[in-house]
Amino acid sequence: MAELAVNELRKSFGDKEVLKGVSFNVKSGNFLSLLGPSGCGKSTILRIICGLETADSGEVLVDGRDVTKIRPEKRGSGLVFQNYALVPSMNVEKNVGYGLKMRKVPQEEITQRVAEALEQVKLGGYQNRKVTQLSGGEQQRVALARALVTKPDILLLDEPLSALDRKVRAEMQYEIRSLQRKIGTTTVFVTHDQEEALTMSDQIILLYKGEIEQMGDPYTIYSQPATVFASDFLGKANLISGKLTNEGGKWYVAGDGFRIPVNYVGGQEGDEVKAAVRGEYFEFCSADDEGANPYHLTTRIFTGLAWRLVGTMGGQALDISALGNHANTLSDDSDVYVRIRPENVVYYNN
Amino acid sequence: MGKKKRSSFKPVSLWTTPSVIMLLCLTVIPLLMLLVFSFMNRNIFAGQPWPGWTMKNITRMMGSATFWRLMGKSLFTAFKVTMICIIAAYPASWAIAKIVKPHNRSIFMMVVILPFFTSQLLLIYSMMNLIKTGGVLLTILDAIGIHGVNTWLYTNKATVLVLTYEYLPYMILCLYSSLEGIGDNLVQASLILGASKAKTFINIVFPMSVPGLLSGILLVFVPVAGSFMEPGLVGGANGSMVGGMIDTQYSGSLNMGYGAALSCMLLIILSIIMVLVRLSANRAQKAIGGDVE
Repeated sequence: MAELAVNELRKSFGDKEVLKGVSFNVKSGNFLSLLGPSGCGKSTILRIICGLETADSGEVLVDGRDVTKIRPEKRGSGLVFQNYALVPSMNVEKNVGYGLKMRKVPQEEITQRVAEALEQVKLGGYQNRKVTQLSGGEQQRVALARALVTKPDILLLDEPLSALDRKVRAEMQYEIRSLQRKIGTTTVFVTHDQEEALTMSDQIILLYKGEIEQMGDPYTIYSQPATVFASDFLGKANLISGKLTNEGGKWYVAGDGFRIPVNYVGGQEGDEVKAAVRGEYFEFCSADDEGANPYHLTTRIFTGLAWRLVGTMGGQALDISALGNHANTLSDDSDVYVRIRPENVVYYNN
Repeated sequence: MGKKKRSSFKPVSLWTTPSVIMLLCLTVIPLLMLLVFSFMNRNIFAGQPWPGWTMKNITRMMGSATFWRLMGKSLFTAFKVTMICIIAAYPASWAIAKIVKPHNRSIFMMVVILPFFTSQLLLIYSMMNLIKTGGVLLTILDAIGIHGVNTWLYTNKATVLVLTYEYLPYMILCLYSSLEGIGDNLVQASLILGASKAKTFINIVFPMSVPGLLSGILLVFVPVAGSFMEPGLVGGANGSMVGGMIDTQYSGSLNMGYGAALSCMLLIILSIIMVLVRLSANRAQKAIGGDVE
């Protein structure tokens, strides 16, 4: 358990600036996800935290202690790689016990702690297995046990699930999260999968081109994307262009044939803005309801969990996601009315 | 594409016939002949009657102090050369496999393989030129103020030097093939788990390079132990090794049976050593990697 702070990290590879001054804090016992598309610098941050990479400037503090200059083997962080990085010439027990052996822990204690760690990741009795004969999910569990058995201050996970198939992945997401809650190790998780970040984290940092786009808990990040990029990267929001207008003290983003209520956060009346709205926040209503907007439904697509409705509002494309009941009764090429609450809309100046 | 068509391309026993014949004619039969000759009374020459069996060659060999001394010298020289090759080849092959950028690798490999393009004899003579009295090496030493160095030529050191020079590429190539397969993040994982670079080498890099190391040892130790040209050319009056003694039996004293007996003994001893090397490598691997069910 330790608090992690990262201050003003900068890093360039050649003339490419990968990190442009990244700072954040992770509270003790928290689970932080670094989320972003490939090349956004998220893995580089992780590698700087554990010492595999040196930052051009900036510092890494663990419990207020500056570890920036400490070599990786002395930092005591736990790292799980995307491709497991298990030693093929060692059996499961030797792999998991490796870190303890390097710390000169007595053999008896190693045996016991390895057994406990394997139990934690539900691989009890796997000690003498060959790692190359395990499935991907099992290998990643071994890697997790190997990282946890040394009781690291900080656990770092570098896209540990992206090589696994969908089902095993969902299982592992849940297990990693509950294990992390139980042992309370401060964790930094790197992923490009927004769903994974949303399900697992206490806190998400959204990175884009070496800079932090948005920082916050999963719900805030999802429902209040701070930038156009954030709204697009996390679960594809609809972007609707319009003018900022004020009618009777209330603010709207209005255009040809629609008017969406917003909470005012700045800007002049008449500004060209983009409103980001998520399809699932729309509800159907009747024409004379407050805030009703005409919506032309072009096609319905059934996705299993919900209907995806493809259509237009005021001539602009708008995808709505609707759960069963009502959407079942709609037909393609029909006109309906929809509305949305202002707290579910964010707008950005162009 | 029908399944039938592909199945007709399956390797059948007929396909292996050429290689079996080659192996039989060029390896198995000569080895058997060597064994048979060891027990023959005198040389076979065309048109002469069957010479008859004898144990003379074996008893003479067993009692020959010269043979055992030269055998010891050969094995010790081979040991030295192999060790030097291993120590020199690990950093070199690690550098080529891990540090050199992939698109530059072929250039470095080319440099390693380059000596193979020249005849072995030329390699030896060029090396002799380097280390002889008045040669490049001594001239340079003299020029930078180190005087009075005796020439290495015609000493055992020269033999070791020339043999190392000749066989180092084999060791580098073998180790390279093993080291290349070690993922970068294995090494990184080891560092993060608290291992120093030395411990990472012992626990991760070494066990994973054992297959390459074993073939390297095989390709260096065996031919060096049997070499006769290099000791003869650069080893001087006392340079001869067991290979030279065997060579003399065939080309000098025309004692084919005795030469065959000596060759067989060399072969047996080398095989035993190779088995022991393999067993100890396996044990080391197991000690580091643990038992597997």
